[in-house]
Amino acid sequence: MKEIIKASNVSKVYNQGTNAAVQAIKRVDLTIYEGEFVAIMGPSGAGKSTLLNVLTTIDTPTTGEIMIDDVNISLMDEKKRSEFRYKELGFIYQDYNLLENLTIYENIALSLTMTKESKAEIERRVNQVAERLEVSELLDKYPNECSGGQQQRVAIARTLAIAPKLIVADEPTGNLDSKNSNEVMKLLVQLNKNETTTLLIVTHDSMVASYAKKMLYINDGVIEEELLRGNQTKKEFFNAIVDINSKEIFIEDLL
Amino acid sequence: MNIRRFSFTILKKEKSHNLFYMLFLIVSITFMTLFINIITDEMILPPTMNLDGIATGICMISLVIVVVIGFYAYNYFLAIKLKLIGIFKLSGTYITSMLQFLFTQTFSLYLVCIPIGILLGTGGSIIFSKFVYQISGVSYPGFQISLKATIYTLVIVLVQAFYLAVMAYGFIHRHEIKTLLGYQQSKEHGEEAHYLNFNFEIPSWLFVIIFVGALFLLATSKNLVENFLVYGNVVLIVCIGKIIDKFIPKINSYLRKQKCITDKINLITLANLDVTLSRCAMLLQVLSFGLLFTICYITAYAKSPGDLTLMYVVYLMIIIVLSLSIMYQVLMESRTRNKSFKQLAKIGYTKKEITSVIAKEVFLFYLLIVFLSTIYPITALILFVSSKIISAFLAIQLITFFLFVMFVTGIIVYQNYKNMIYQEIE
Repeated sequence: MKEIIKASNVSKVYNQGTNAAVQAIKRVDLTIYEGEFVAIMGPSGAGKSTLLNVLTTIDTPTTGEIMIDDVNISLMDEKKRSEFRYKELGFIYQDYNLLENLTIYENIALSLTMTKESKAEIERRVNQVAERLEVSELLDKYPNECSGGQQQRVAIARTLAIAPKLIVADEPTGNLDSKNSNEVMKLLVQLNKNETTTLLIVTHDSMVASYAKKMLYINDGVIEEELLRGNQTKKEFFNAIVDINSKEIFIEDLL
Repeated sequence: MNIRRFSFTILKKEKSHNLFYMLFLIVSITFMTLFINIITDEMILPPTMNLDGIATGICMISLVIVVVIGFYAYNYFLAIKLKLIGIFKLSGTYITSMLQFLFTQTFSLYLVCIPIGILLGTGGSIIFSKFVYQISGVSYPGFQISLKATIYTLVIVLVQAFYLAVMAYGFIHRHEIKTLLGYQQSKEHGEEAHYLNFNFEIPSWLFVIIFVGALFLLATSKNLVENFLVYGNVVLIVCIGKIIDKFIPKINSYLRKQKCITDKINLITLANLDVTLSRCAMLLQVLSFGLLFTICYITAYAKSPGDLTLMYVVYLMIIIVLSLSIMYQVLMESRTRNKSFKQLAKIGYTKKEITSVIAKEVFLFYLLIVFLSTIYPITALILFVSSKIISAFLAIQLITFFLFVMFVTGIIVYQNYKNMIYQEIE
């Protein structure tokens, strides 16, 4: 399988050189292959979101090397990084991050606008993904006129419109009820299966992580466990994830 | 930490925001002092130039405008505290503690601004008085600080502060926690906006036709000054708000969907511009009315140096106070864009592109407000000059001052807006 992201010996220190220095991630080695579905779990403040930001060029690592599609990102200038983000990456966040001054149509179209598609192509693709995600009737509305579940579907539609190689999701179901969470996760699994889109998800929810093929457990900035689903059923994988998560709580209780 | 100390801590943290509010307060108190001096101090004008009823009335109206805009500015001051008050309410803080928090902040700022404003206003009165004596050819008897004017100013400012306190109470009482915490802060976009309180829909283009048609009729009328003063201002009051609220958003929406959907800079620029303009609709209405009104009065009093000077002061006041309010409003609006610009940076907008979005938005915003608010005054001035009612020099002076203030505030808005967004995305 082709490597999409390869991180070697990556560390991130905030406020370096001051008394308030915090090492968010410590010498992380990680490879993500094309078509993988990886969930990153861990307690609050463990470094999950920092790792995600560093891997996706939003943040720069203090030390170490990150290769994306065999290109060292530290050698990319701002323009190249931006280009990489809008061409190859799709972001989905807990708070949807839709632009509230744009209509739903414009929000979905934005990713295509950035890749300089023609007006006709934008219209075709927006309508296509809107239909697929059942948000067609919302296209003329503004985000504040939609429910949380609808906004998250729009955020996914915006991501799908450009058919990115890698979708990065930070707590994508964090603001949704269980019904909407399941719908969102089923959509992501479908993408991963049918279109071989690589998925990287940060989550606190063991149920959400159980949809993945691989789970990385991060604590104090270090990847402590790596769990592969293999031939396990979703339920078996879920139990294994819960075991790892509860181990931490159990040790804390003992101490 | 007690509530008073907490108020000061927050006041310090919101330093840049408070500086703009303080600047506004100082300018408004300065003009209040100046107008009250003009109305109450008999020695400020030479005996040959006592104010008639109309001039005194205009001073009073100007005073009311400054006080009313003060309420408007206080709204922005409160708007930034929505989330904090929401958290207070959520955690069960007593309304008295929340009021103490707001009062401590408001009155502290007033305490700093009142002496500075009165001092500047008194200084302005001295300059005004000296100038009027000089152009009247009467020897200047020297200016004595009017205790009466200072007391009146203090009373008006304190009454204003009292009403602001009432407003703060209403603000806390009226808003639900959900609103305060920011779930409903964004612009309400809805079908309702297309309707007036009648049973039929008035198409927005009709207001443009009235706006342009009335200008043509006024330009061809005989009593230019009177017609512009009365009918011109009526048209401005009726049409400007509707054009900004209804016509421009329709054009904006059409441009975004049909022309700019393939242009990542213009798409965001126009979307942001739409919201910024709608937030400033009321201020723009007052600005265009104020400009035409004072220009007509300046023209009517052009041959009386004392009255002309007084109207000039009113003109300056309207431009300065309103441009500061607009600046303050745009900056408050730009604060709510932090998250959106951060999101744009994440999905691939470069810093240069974000700067371009901000620059274009500020440029188009000022271009539109200058165009909309000056189209009537400039036409009127051209006609007044060609009819030899006023000199070309005076007309150029009036417009140049307005453009200069708009240019300066535009630059300040651009710099602050840009810095605020840079801080967020870096």
